[in-house]
Amino acid sequence: MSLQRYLIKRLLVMIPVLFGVTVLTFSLTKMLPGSPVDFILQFQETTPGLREQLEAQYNLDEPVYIQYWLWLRDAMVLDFGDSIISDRSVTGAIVGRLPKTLLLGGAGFAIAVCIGIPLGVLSAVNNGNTIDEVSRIGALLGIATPNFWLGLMLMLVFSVQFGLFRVIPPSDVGVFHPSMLKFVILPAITLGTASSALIMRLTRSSMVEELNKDYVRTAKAKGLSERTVIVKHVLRNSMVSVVTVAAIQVAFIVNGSVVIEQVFSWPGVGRLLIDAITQRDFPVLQAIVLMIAVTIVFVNLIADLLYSWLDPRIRY
Amino acid sequence: MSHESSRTTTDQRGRIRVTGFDTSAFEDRDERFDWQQEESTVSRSRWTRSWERFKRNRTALAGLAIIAVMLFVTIFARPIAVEGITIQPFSLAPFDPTNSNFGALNEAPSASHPFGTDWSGKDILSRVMYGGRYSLTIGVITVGIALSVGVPLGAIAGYYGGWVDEVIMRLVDILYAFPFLVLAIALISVLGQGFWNMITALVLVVWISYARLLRGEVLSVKENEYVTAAKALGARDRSIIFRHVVPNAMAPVIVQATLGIGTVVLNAAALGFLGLGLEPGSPEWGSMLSSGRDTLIQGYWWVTVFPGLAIFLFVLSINLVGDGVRDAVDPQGDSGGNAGVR
Amino acid sequence: MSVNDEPLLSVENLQTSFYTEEGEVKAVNDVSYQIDRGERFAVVGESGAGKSVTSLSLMRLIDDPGRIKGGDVTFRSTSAVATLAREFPNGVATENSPGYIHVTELRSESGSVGTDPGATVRDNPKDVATDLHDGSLHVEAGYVDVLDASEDAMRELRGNEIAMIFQDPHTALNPVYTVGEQIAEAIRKHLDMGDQAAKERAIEMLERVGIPDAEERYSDYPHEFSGGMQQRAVIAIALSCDPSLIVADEPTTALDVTIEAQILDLLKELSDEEDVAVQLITHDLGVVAELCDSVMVMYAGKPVERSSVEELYYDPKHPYTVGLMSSIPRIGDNRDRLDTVPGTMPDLVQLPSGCSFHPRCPYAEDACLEHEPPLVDVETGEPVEDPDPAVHSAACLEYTGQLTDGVDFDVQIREDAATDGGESV
Repeated sequence: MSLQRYLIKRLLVMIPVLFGVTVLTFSLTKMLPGSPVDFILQFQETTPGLREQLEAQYNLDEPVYIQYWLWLRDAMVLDFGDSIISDRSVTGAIVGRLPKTLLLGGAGFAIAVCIGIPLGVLSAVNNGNTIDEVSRIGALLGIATPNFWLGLMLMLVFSVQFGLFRVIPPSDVGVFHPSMLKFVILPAITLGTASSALIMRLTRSSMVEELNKDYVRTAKAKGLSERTVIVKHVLRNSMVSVVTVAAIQVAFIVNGSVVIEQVFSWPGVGRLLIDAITQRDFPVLQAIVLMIAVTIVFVNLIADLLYSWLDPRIRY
Repeated sequence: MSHESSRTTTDQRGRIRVTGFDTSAFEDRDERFDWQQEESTVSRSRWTRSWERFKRNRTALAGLAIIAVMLFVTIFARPIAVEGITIQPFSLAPFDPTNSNFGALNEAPSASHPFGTDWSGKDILSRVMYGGRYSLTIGVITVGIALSVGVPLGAIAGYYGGWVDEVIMRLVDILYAFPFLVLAIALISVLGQGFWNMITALVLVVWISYARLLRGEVLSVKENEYVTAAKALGARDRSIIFRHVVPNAMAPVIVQATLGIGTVVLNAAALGFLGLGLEPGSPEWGSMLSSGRDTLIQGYWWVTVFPGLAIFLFVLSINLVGDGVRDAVDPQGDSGGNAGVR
Repeated sequence: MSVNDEPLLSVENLQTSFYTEEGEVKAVNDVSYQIDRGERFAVVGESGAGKSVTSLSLMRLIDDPGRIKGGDVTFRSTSAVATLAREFPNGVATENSPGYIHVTELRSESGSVGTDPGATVRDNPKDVATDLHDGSLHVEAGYVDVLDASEDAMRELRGNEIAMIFQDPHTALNPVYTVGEQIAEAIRKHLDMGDQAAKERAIEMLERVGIPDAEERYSDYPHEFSGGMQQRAVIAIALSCDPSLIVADEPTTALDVTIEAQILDLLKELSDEEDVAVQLITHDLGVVAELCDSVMVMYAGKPVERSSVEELYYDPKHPYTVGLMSSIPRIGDNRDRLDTVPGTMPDLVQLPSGCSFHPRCPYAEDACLEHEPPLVDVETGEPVEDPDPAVHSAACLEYTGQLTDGVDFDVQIREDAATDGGESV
């Protein structure tokens, strides 16, 4: 089957998933005991007009599926209403914070991939000897360390003891400003460590498996150099597994950034999420959750497309 | 040549027949010629063999030992009473974890408080020892429930295929789109905090990977001939699934579940750190770290280091055990393949 | 010229062992044989006899925990010598310096170079001619000491002068690259051709091995080929750089019988037309009879018989060979039972005392438990020096005169063979 047909097929499968995602996100407020408006007002000061605003927002006199449809219709044009706390539009609040989160997440992902894959390859090729053992132990430590603890430790060592990197969050610095580097480096390392360990492990095991296969023997029997055999033949075959784990790491990094932003007081979307929860700011909560879920669905789609490009056998 | 060979050779060509290689000669032969290969004929079940392999893995055993010690410490940290009857009377922890002592605020580690004290004077060592209960129980209970949900669903999806499979897998896909923590956070925000709410949120997130994994294994196992044989003998579906298919498909799920305990503990700690876990003030390791954050800048490093170390140690040990389980149950071997001939 | 009288490949006393937890596995235990230019030589034996390891040792593809312990492998291909001399002048042996590339006869444009051709080559490596490059120095005779060669030099030889075909073509091909690319890759590396030229040659190769629509199939992936076609593609890869020797490790075992016949025909045709020597590893005596000129039978890591194919079938000497042949069923046989060789080949870590075959040999005597029979010339009873299969040799105490009762198997021609004109076997 050609690439186009595969793409169309995948898109079709994606639609029910997206539908389910929106339903699930919407139904978060439905899981509350009682009316969402009453629930929210428990935690807020009831300012005049707030109750009316909320009731208008939630359309509670309509049947459930109409409520869903209204919510969805607005969501598709990125109108999530206004935040209960700040009175700003939800979308505006999120968009304001998005660049910093993307920077942090991107940096973390880059670190994870740029450390994880080469180390994994190195480890697989040196299977059994010291380099391998050291890398594997390192990976194990990286996975077991709670990322928030690592962040705190790094802060402790570098910022408090040595005064090297900043602890104060970069609220006023623009994302592309070069001085952003010293702000982002500690959080990015914290974020990328566990991911790089997972990527390294998977790259290694996938490559070890491939190295035992017959086509490697054929390649060697052709007189190709060691480097060509490993990079051109073996790594290429391992890429499907690596892409799988990299796609999973995107979700992992989203996870991590919620926590890391808290540790480093990083002014991003993760912080916004936590604030929204403690303050029961449901519009913001729903908007962020939906945004994350939809992003992940698309990331998986891209991963699937990458598979079929990487492995000609997968074009079923 | 001094032998009495009765060979003849021929100059003819054509289709040949060989005679005289008389295998009946073996019966009359003296036993000296019956050289046998030394082989072990003891047959052991697959699980016994796995256990043997596991036992030989020293790092895995070390991990198991550490967990055992932590379990011991945690159980005997403070007395356990059920319905008023004291089951466990011992108290390893030097202080009551919930006792504030405003005379000893934020003390550095010393002889009387080996891990120091926190902002309200509570002894950190005692809190760490006691707090293990939360992490361990959350980990084990969550994984246990997730298995009992995920395994049957995955088995059914894999075995029956068709629309049952599609529906279950779509559900899995939908839940998969939400990152672990984000979904747990969202659920806790609506369900509220507390022990069982946290477990519910975590279970809902964790069962999907077991279902998916098991379904994949079932898909390949059910093609095996012993399944066809069982069907031909008229066995009922339920019996086939649970007696033949699932046991053979379980191996990767067991590995995943073992490692999953570690993941759950990490994420539960993260929730605690974010203030979304148990009641505030519980000596749960993650929650202890959230108060540690504020005091870090002031230099009270012990509040952060020790609880985190406990989490780290536990997760590390679980990972060692999990890796050991993987090597024991599913040994591919690192120096495997055609050892050397490649 | 002396060149053509000398065998292309001489293997002498090759020993390869694997050092495992259970002990030293002597997979190849003192194996010697030779193959002439264009000759087709079979290595026969059961699984575990050491046949594959012999071939992999030849190409120095043995990795930890295996090691080639000893022996000599001499490869007398002048194009190999010339190629290596150009690339690795420091490896050329001269009177004063050792090396693994030996040039014994060199001709320059002005006439033949006398005393130390190696030194001349060392000084002028760029002038040495291979088949494809014109230079002023022509290697007329020489050899490569394969076991001494550097790893880089071996990479020059592999796929270029000595090529290998493996058993399962499906897994031997890399699934993510097109078949054409996998052929062109070897061509680009060894024949120094550009992309377009390499592609054209690869298409030629595909046609040569009988794959129809070669130009379209160049861009197809391995999983789009049938099993027989895949093996043909593998043969195309092997053939692509004009090797002098192809080592084929059970090339037809994974294929259907009808496909097997086609592949064997192809190998025979290619070997005849391109003058390529073939070392065939197999357990199938039928294939050997069909394709090969000489044969060596291996058991438990050692050679037990070595001769020309004709003599092996019509005048076998070793009881194991006889056992193998008597276990082949034939239509028209009026026996009740097949006389198979009972038991299994021993684990190479734990070999029986004396002759390794004695537990399965119907003619075994006390002497067989005590003395390990050396490979001897069956006419003279003396240990055979020359690995030439024209000299029929076998490793059995019968031929050293130490057996008292002797062996009493017989090879008869069947009377009912008249109708098909007396084909062998």
